[in-house]
Amino acid sequence: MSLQEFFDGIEVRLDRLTRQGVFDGKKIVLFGASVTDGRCKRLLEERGFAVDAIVDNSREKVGREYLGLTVRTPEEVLAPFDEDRVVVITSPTYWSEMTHQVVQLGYSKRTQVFSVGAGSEKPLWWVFPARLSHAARGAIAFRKLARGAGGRRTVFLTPVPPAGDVYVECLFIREYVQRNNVKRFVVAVPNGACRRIAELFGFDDVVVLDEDTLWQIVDYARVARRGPEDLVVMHYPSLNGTVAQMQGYKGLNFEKMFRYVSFDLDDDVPHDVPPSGSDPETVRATLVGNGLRPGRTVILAPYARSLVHGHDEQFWNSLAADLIARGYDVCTSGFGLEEPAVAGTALLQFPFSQAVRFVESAGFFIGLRSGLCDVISPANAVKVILHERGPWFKTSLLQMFSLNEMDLCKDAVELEFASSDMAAIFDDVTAVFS
Amino acid sequence: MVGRTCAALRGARLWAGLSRRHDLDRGVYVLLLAEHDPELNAVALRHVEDLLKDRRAAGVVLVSDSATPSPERAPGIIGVERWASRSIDALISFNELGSFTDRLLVVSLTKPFGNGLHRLLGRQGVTKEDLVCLGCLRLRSYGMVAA
Repeated sequence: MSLQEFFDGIEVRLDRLTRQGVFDGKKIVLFGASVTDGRCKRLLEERGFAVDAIVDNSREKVGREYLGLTVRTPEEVLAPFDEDRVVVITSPTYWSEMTHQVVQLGYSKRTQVFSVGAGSEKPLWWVFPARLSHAARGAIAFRKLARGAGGRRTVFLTPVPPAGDVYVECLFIREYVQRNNVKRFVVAVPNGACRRIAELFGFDDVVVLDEDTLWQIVDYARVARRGPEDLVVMHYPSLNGTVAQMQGYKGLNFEKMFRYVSFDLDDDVPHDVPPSGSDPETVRATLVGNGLRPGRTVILAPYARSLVHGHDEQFWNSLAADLIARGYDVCTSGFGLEEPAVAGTALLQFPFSQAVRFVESAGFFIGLRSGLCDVISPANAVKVILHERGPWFKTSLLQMFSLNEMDLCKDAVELEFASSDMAAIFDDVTAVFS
Repeated sequence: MVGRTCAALRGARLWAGLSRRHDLDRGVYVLLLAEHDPELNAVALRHVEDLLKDRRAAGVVLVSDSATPSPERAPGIIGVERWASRSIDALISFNELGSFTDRLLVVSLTKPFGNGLHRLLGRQGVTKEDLVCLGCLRLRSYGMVAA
């Protein structure tokens, strides 16, 4: 199942519960302080329901602020029994034990505790054939993919759409290919943005398959115990979620997880950083053509799909106005109708292949942590990276995805913000420009 | 693929039997000792009490194959079953087809397929105990720093 399907499933279940009126006049408690719960909170808010409390069993999360609320223990919030509370669980992994825990506190499984995580309520007789059919379709898709024009080839595959993940994976492919004497290979990714990222690294054979097909191949790999000789699932938690429990522990950040788990490479293996791409003079000319001064331009990148609370228009508008008042030219990196330019700035569109050059030419970059940040990380420029504050297994989102910690660069200015209050970091961001 | 499917089906039946015999729905976990690694198994058994506390479990049923030395019975272990290694593999195949339950905890650094825990051993100072407690047993309280 793709991530999007998972979130779609949550949305469908929330809609059904909303129609049934289970949230009306109730105090909603989210069980779990995770990114998924953050999405769930947003979906509830969009339907007009406020979340009253977030509870979690993890000691390191309890007492911390998340999504504008202080995370508390289930017992603290749910005991003594309160008939006006409903508990929403999103975890697809722990839903049954979480439900059990809440039921033990006196809450009704039928009317007060709702698991909205994908597949959690489906019976075995339904899931078993469905999974089997997935794996069978995966076997067919894999055979097709592994048969190249020049003979059989090793498939490097990632089923998840974030382009930044593909960037980190591609840093290691060439070394893996050399060490394992792979003769021919193909990289399979779920969308065009991922393909463009993979192509930055000079791989000739990159194919886009829909996410469902890629997940079917992953299912096949797991069921048939296939790989890693001819099938490398690069996204480490996809085959088996067990190893994801180690994320963030003892400095196991995102880069290290890929390096060690997906590719089995030691720390001495350097990144295979892609070339910077296009001619710097052409890029300078493009900036000038857009009325932007090279070396005096701030590129804003205010869009990130993973953000829990969405785009904070007011923050970015104020930031742009402040930078313009300080004498900078400001533009916005965005694509499509959903990513318009920040007020008072020009929209600057550039492909991944030219991103490093554009940032170097402009001189300054401020962006929410997204895949674009991975791509521009080698740029010799002032880079301000904004990380949403939040828990990530044994660490924070910042520690897990920091460009500096991941050794993608050493000079990024990385700041943490609460998505419910971006304004709080306004001064920290502008201080970089004073 | 056909062989694996048959194994998964057999694993499903074995799981249903385990579930019935020990009434797993009341909050009982199955600890499957899938490796002949005494150190790994000892670490897992040492943390059974943590597991009970952390997951608010009603008890733990140990499943190991007949070649694994008889584990010492720690408090909280409400049942021990010795299976043929083929049956152990079938249960793992069932788990590989889809994680149908959170009541099954496999103590292994390589199984079910794709479990990459072995690749983290010794890296960044990660120990077997870390891998068993966080990866296999998923102990939330292990190695955490209170806020």
